[in-house]
Amino acid sequence: MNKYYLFLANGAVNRDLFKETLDSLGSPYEIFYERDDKGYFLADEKFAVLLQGVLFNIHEDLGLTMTVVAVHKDGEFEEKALKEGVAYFPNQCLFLTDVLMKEFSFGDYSSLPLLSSEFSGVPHELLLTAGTFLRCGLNASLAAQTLIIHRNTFNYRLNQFIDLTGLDIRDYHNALLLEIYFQFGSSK
Amino acid sequence: MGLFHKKDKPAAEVDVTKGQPTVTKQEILERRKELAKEHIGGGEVKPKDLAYVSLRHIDKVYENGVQAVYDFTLDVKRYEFIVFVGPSGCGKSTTLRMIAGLEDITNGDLYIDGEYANDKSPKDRDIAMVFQSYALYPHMTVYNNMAFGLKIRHLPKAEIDKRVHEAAKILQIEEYLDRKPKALSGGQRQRVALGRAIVRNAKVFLMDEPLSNLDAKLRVQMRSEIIKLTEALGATTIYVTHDQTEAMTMASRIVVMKAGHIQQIGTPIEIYNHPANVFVAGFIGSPSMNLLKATYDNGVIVLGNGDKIACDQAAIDAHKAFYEGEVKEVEGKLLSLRKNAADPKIKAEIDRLELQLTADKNALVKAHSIVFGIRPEDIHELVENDELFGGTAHPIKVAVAELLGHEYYIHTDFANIDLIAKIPLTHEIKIGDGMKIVFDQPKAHIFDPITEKRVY
Repeated sequence: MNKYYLFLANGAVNRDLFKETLDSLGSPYEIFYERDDKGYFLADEKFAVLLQGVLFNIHEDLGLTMTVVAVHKDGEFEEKALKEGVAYFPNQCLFLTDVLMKEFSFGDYSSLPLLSSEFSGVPHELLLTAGTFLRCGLNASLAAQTLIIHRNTFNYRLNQFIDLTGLDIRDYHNALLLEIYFQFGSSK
Repeated sequence: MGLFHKKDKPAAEVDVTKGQPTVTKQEILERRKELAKEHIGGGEVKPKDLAYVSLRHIDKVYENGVQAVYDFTLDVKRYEFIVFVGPSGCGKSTTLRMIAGLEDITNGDLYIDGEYANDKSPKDRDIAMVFQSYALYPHMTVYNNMAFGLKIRHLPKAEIDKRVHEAAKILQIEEYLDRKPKALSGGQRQRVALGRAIVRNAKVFLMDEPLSNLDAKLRVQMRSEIIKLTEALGATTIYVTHDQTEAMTMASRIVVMKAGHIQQIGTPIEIYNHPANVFVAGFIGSPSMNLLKATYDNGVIVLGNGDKIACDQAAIDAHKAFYEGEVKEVEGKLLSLRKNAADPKIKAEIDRLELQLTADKNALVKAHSIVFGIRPEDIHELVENDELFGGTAHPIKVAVAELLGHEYYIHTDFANIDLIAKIPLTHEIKIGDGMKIVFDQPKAHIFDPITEKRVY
């Protein structure tokens, strides 16, 4: 499953050397630069773990402090998370949920409206499907049973949710983001 | 740089611009540099040979007001092997990261090799860091992992090759130079990580729990290898660990930390034999020092089970001197604080100190609570005609007898605690056995129960 890895460095990145360090991870990726110090990679979920392992080396060898946030898409909410991530987690590769939970632990809920807006246009039936999937521990058969619908119907609705939100909740971190929305962002 | 320093600006109650309401950050930085020059000239930082890394009143406060490190002051001499030890969350890694430049210093000054270093970027501090997680490029060979940083610095190929091979020889990894990290064991990967540090000819090595990922046997082996290596390289090393055994076996000096505060700085022997407070006494040493609630009454210690221990004159004198000193110190603090007694925070501190003063004065004239400390190895089994080590015999019943080969760790319920004694293997000891133990009293300690400081 591909993710966006938004990155922000504390200075201009030497693109050739940076590419050499990323190539050494042995995991396929594409890199896009917005500026000399900012951009994103497109890579699979394994990339986060590999990158975290070498960020300090990149810091030592390239003289860069860099924060990377793995997200499901690039938008206003995700950009805010990158800025917060830089402040709380310099020189680390982290997930959107890491940033949110750090903010909450400091009593900062300013990201909640943006998080809520991610799901505001989702029909109730699809939110119910996704929420049941989480409650059933990401077990699709059990979720279908719980909703008293056919497994195929369940899959269809789940895929609709994923297409609408861009959030594939079969991935742990994406599921956690939705759970945080249900716990903190949705009106009960 | 702005975003990267946004959250590290000082919290409101730690305002570096206090008294200078219109000073810009640039002006503050310039003023700090002037102060640094004054400090060096004024002898506050000792000459090069004596203080290689100097931390002066370092604080770390995050923007949400959480303070991780309080008033950290330490001079590290050249070639020293300093170990920061303490429980998780005590601020030891944060302090190391401030030295490395990975975290901003909120207040205080850092000098490396006589130069003011607060605002130097990490790569300009001439420091090499080694982490718990080894941090190797997974698809580069060992050779390229070690050479990459030098290549970026545009060192000549011949020089790079020379440094890599020299480091590989020291680390005994020459035969692995063509391998990739996944083909190496944990210990070998750790050596490659050390190799990356060595080739940079860094002045200071910073190590953040580098052995935590290794199994127990390999940890013991790598401990001695790291010591030999740093001695061979003539490196100044600052090492962070939560393992007090690593601290005791590796350090030339130990810094014990708790909740962001330094508890004690000293050599392993100093800290072991003269712990500054209850925390250090309980943290250093394995098994931990036995700490019992007791009462001190005119030269006699009364344990929780009613057993009495008579103190010698040296101990009685030390007790008197300690509490006289405490009374003087607290009276001095109160005199100073009472000038601002209207401030609620200061009033709370005054109230606390007044209670402490009363307790300290009482300790000089009345029976008072203490904490009695005795290390397991300073408790002996009393056999017939044996010396009493200046003390009395205490009958016990063995609750647990752990055999370690050459000695037992005997556990017994004694004076409301699980007392542990190290008893040499001279005869078999079983659960339920009765025996008599005696404390080696000159090696016992007492601590004040309020301040937790060591009385003697």
